Amino acid sequence: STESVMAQTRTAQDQQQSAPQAANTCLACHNNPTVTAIFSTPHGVGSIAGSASNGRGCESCHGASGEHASTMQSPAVVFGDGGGRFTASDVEIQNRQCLSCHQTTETVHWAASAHQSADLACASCHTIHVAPQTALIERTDSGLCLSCHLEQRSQLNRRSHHPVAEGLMSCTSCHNPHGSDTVALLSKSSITDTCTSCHTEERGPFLWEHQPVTEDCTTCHNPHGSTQASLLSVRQPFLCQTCHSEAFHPSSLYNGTGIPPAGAQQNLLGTSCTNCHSVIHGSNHPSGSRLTR
Amino acid sequence: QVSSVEIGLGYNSEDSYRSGQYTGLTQAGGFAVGGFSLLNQPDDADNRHWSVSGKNLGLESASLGATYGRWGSYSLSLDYTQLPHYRFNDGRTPFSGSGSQTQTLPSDWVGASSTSGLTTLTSSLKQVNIDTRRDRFTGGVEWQVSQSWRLMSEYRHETKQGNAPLAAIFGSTGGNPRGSIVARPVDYQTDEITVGLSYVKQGTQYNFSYNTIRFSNNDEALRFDNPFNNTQWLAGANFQDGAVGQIALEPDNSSHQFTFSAARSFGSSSASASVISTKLQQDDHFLPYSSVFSAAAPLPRQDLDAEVNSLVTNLNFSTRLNRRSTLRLRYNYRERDNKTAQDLYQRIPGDAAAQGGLVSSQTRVNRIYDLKRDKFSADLNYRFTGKTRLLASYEYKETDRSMVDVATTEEDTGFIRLSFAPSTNSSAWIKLTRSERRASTYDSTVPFIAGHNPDYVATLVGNQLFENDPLLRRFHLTDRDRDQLSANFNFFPSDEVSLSVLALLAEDDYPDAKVGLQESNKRSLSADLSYSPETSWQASIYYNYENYDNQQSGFARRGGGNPTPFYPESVRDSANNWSVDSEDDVYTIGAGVDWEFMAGKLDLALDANYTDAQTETRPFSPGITFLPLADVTTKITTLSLKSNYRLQPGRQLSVGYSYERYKSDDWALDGAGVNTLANILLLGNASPEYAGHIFQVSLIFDLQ
Repeated sequence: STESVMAQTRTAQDQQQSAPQAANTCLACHNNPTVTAIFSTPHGVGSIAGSASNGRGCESCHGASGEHASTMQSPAVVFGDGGGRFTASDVEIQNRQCLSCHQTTETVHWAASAHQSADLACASCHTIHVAPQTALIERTDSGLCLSCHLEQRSQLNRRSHHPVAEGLMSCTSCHNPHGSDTVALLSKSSITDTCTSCHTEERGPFLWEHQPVTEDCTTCHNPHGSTQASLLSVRQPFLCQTCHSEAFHPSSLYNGTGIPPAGAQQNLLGTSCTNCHSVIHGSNHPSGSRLTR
Repeated sequence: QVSSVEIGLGYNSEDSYRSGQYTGLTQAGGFAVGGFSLLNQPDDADNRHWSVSGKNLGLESASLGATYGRWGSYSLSLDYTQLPHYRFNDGRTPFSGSGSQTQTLPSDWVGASSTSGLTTLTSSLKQVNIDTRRDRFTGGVEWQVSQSWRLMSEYRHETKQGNAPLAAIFGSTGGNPRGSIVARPVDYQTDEITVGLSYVKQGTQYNFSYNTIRFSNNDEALRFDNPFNNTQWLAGANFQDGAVGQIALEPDNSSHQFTFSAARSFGSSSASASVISTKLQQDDHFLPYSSVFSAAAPLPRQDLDAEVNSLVTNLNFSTRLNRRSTLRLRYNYRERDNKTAQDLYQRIPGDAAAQGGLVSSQTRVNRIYDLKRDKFSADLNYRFTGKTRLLASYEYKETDRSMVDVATTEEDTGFIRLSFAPSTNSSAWIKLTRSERRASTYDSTVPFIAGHNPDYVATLVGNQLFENDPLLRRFHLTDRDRDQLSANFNFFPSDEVSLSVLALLAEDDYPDAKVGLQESNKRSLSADLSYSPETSWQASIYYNYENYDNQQSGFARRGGGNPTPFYPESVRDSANNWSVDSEDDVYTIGAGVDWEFMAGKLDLALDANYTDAQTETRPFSPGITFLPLADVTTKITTLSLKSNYRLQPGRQLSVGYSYERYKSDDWALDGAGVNTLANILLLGNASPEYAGHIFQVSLIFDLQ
């Protein structure tokens, strides 16, 4: 049914059900902590329609399973991998059970999302029968994502990285795994909006804008981690020279003649081009057209 | 889940900013270990829940959180988090006032035309540490008003304080500036409020939200003394002794965003849509052209009064065509409309430099970058028998931009992805992607003309209308052919063992670029092997290799009074051509073990990672003298071991050890002292190198 949200108000009918009476039939066999932990979570609270203590009890999620109770056949809906005893239900059937309640702002774009089209089940990431009140995820969310996104796991260990491994950020700081209209499941409406929600000082609008900055931060930066400073995808000055080949220094060939002991080239040492063009994201100085002031 | 409190002590063996960059453990010595989690056990009759928690309380990365609410009715949350970022502490500068708006040189400072003549530099140097810290407070409330209506609101107040390197440039003639890298102040404040309302009923939902962000920078400008003077220097540069330079710091800004989204399911179909409208504004007062003298020409306006409006619209539709097929259609529209006024600004390259004439190359017009993008895509998902599925996708994207070299780009992207199960205990997919981006006429004169005084442009002809080499093709604007092949294989030989392998080959080719990026290629291979013989212990190892290869070309060009003929192509001297091949090789290997033994009394967690990154840069030219560049390398080894021992019911002893070894070589930093460059005073920080140990022991008390 798609009639209810998970968090519904108490109704008179709901109040007649007290946990875990609605699940008593199931608990006759399944009365162990790996199952009953759900009664310490919103999924087990009798006042919430669709919970295991309300109305249809465990069948709210597992479907009509009379045959299971009487003959030990598979429940109507088997989540996850079936635990080795039963064949898991089709992912679409599993997810339909969850989404019948979880219609929220976060899941509004699930139907056309990358994870949905990759046949990912809600139970691939979420574990319902565990005690923590909010996350319902066995591992920290970054560890969970990185168990599949192997490249990003490596990139987060590089010289320059956001503090994800350190626990100060998580994948969901930027991404919405439940679906998004933005590239890479970003929570904000664009890549630039995502980056500048924390780096608000770079929003401008500046008098002298740097055009790629206004369009897409990933033109120059790799947000998951880089072997170069400041999450740059390519080292300066070579990154800058892919777009700038004006006369004199922007068009010069920078090489070992500019490194001690052979030489000391100001476009190579220190912070390279940003030794001078330091306000590279934009300048609001009336003489800042070259992003130096 | 029970309430618990953790208290203990730790010891850090290493003085290193890099090792403690995100924890604040930058000094050797002891530290406190603290944390707590207090929560109630809601009963079904009154399902009120509350929790209070603290994490990393002995560290600078501490956080506190609290929640209160009633499941199914309302919830309140409060969080406070500190996010330090320590960058380096081996910088040196002759300036006093690091981290403040005003940076001054010693009274006995002796200026010179280059750093080698700065005779009082060495005696004036002081250590400078570069670091920032964010303090973030967030609060939220959610209220289930009725069965269908839900109201939410969030508030964020965040400060970021500290300092950061910035180039204090005094002026330049051509490519010969004089400047210093100094520690500029960072003193930001960001306030964000979001209010949302949603309605859900019978497969239909509507969401509306308003978000506003206000950013304030408490420092308007950085003012700095000039370490150089005009002795033996071009008169035009006018590096006056005693003159003070000034650079504008980021202006305050504010945004207002309205979002409306809707979704509806009907039968085997669903549709969703969203509209996001944003207004971003900025009206900070301009600094004067010069802090040294009154400019001959006044500013055209006192502030920018900038306004950028953006609009994003999305439409999605998905439907099950039959038992095997699903079709998804998507449309995305994005617009950036910069409403800011354009004016003539008579640029002064440095505060003491003379102002150029109105009809000259020194008079610039602020370019207005607008963007409009339409994107349409269709996906067809076909399910064969068994676990075999085919996903075919096509996307068309058209982007219009203003005041850049290319007015319109069109891009077609298609991919097919075949998922299948090679055996009963394995799964795999393979994906092939082809993308072609084509640009309308590449016209390098457009940004030049848009950025200069029209009266000045009218005096120019031919080659003079170019700023960039006309054969350059900016890689994000020009034609691009992209091919990608990726594959994934998952193997489960038993319930205990799983293997996952992911491989990627990607090639970007820029066929129209004679100057600029030619090719950008990536290869990667990742593998993860996990072993979980029983619930009490599991182990995994992973490996990743990535290779990035960028090939770019250039043409060394001189202009001014002794110009190098460069356009058309037939007049170019091929001896001035050059190329650079930049290649990154990164190897990462890691392992983790979680082990619970002694009948659950002792658990152990081990995590180890090793990253070896190498950047090789190969320059080449048929006519320009060149030498190879040394490789830039970074090797990072981390090891973490944590053990919890249950002393008695409700009490645990926790012992932790972590090790990090960081070794790097970087020619941009190593050997580049404060005065290595002739024209720029650097901070002289070296690439990090350390090996540090952290020990910690704590007691965890469960509170029943």
